[in-house]
Amino acid sequence: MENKNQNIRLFPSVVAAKQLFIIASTIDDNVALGNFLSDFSHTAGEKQRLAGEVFEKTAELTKNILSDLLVRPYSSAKDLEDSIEDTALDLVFDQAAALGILDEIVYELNLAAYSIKEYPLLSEKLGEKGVDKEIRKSILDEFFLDKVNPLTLMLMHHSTYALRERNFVSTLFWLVSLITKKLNRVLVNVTATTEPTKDQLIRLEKIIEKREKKEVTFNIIIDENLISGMKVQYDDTVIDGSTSSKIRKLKESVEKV
Amino acid sequence: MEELKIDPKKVRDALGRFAKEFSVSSATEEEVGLVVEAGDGIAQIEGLSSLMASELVRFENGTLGLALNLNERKIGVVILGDFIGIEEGQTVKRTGEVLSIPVGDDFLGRVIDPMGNPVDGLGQIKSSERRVLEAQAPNVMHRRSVYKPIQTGILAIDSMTPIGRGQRQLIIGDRQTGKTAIAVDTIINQKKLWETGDPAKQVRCIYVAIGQKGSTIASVKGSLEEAGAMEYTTIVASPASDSAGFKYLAPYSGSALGQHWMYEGKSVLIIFDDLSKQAEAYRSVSLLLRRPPGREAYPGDVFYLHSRLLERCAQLSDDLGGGSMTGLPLVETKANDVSAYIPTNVISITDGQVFLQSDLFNANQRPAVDVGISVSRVGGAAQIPAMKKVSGTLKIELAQYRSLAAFAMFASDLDAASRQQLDRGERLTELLKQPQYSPFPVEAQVALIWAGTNGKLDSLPVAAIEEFKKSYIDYLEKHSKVLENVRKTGDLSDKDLSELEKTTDAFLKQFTPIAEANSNDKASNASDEEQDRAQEVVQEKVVKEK
Repeated sequence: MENKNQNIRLFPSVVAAKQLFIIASTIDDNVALGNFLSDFSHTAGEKQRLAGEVFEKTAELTKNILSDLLVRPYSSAKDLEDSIEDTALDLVFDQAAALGILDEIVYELNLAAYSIKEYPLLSEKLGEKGVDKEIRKSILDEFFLDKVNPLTLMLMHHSTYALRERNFVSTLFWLVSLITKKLNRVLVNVTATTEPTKDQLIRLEKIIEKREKKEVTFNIIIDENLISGMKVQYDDTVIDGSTSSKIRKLKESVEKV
Repeated sequence: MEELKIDPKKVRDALGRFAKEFSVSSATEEEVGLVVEAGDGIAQIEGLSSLMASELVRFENGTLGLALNLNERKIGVVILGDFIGIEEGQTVKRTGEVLSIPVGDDFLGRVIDPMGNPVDGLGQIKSSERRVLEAQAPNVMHRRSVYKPIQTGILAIDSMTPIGRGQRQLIIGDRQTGKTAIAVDTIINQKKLWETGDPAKQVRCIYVAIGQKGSTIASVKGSLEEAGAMEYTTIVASPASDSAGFKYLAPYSGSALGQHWMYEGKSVLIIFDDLSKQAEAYRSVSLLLRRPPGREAYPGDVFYLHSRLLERCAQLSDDLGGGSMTGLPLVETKANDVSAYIPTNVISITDGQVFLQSDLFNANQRPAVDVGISVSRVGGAAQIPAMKKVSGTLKIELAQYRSLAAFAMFASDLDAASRQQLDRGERLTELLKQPQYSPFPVEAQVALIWAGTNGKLDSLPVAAIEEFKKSYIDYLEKHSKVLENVRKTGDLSDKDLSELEKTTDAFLKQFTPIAEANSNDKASNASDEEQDRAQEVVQEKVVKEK
């Protein structure tokens, strides 16, 4: 297992993805560099020359991808960063799909996102710009190193390393939604006070499959705070049939009176 | 006084009953996103991938937001209301609704905020209908050309830059030049039409106050109430203390309310006081949303902001009920510069402009309308025939007077014809002076302009013109039927003209201006004062010598 994980890290596409993540983060940190590389008054050759000098020590594949991306027009540095980040994510997802571990990654990312969300202090620290990015990365290592797939950890590292004015947990959820879209699947988070029965899940699966026209994967979360009932969440949709939600609505209604 | 007692048991029972009857039918389905950034009345949201442009979202504290920027990964939302409790990490829910306000006749006489909520403390406004704020303007086939006049009651405007129902007439000028006064006077002048009870004549008024001081809005409301004009007026107030989002939306709210009446076949007058402040509010919202700034840091769509708003003013075709919405947008200039970005935009959108000059205002020419550069592109078609007949030469005479007056400043001797033209111009200028809150009915305006342009004032001293105006109209009402005929027919027949001539001559024979009598008294008083002063000087000398 250890060897297999080591190998994954050495795949050329994974190496390139990792380097592209770092490049996106560097451009985000360096306004002048970002402006130069996205400014249409500079020629593609000038941009490629500068990028070649700054990111000299990157792999050949990374250099090729970056050169190709710099030829395209961008309206802002942010657009260029998005473009680099999207390419890197595609590289990771495609490699994971080729290895047949995309399911594993989406499951781990989703679980990690839910777990970290439960600890506001931790989630805050991982999304705090004021905390050094290396420290943020090491916090993640402490909890997840060797416990999740290296690609999952790489994506989590990128989420905290290159915050780019994003919330760490919501970036994880965004990655989950990207992967499920790629898998043409919908990841359904079912929160209940007790484990839902098989019948319940089958019924739910049928309903959601009919609606979304996609295969359904369940993630079960046990939360006693719901009191009773069930809460179903997929993509941006939340179907809340929990007692706690009913009580909250009653409270809001009484407050209005 | 009987002591107010609250029985805790009753309260408990009532709440218990309420809780028992309360039912959440089944599980609720909502689309939820996350706030990733909040501040300065703007929030950035992640998620809600199917959100529509201009859709409303609800934050955890119940505050609504308006989705303006739909980017691939983030949504820029303008918070409509209190943004203190909105924090990063909170959930945001879709409402599935676009921004709309309640509309209806119950809004007359009320002061509301841009969301349609009453702010005058007179209780809730009942309304069963709502209208969206971003509605499309009537298309070409839904309109007809402007043909009915809307009287402002202001001589200088109704005679030379007339406004028709459905027209957009810009009122532009520096601060403190009387822009709001013209708008308020126009509202007050609709009172008589409202009192007729005839829906075809009645004009409902909407005054949209954008970014003004609360005290200024209160004073406008007070003036309208005093004149009995609040009965048919709605004030949409977005004072300076409101967030930029509200200031940007206020004109659209007023316009939605007006459109409701217009499509019911009624006539509406809407005043946007003023659009420069709305543009500034939109600029701050756009900059906070990080939209690229253009000229004067306004976003690229600031022209569309105003054009889509003012395009909603229209005279509808008879098939659609023939309703109309007349727009009087106000724009503030800096140092009389009409070539700034927002003034040029709005000038090009509207059907004419009334330009108010600070120099004229300071020279006590009020309303300070600069006749030379004020125009009405369509209003002439809506002027009543009587006004058309008498006011044809007024603008030219005044223009000639202005050029001659400028020339006469350097000339020592003038021929009789030039002297006469100067005298006439001086009197006409005086005739156009009008105090605030005293609009003239159109028939009185016709008579006054006829008298002015036909040399009937030439023999009067300039100081007597103000007094002449009052006495002359009273005299005409009592001694002839000309005013009544003009009022009824809208025309000035040859018979009426000869009667007007006769009655005016008769009036002038018996008219002795008080100003003239006073000036004689003043002359004698002045000589007394001079004598007193001379005595004082002598006294001083005596004291100094001693």
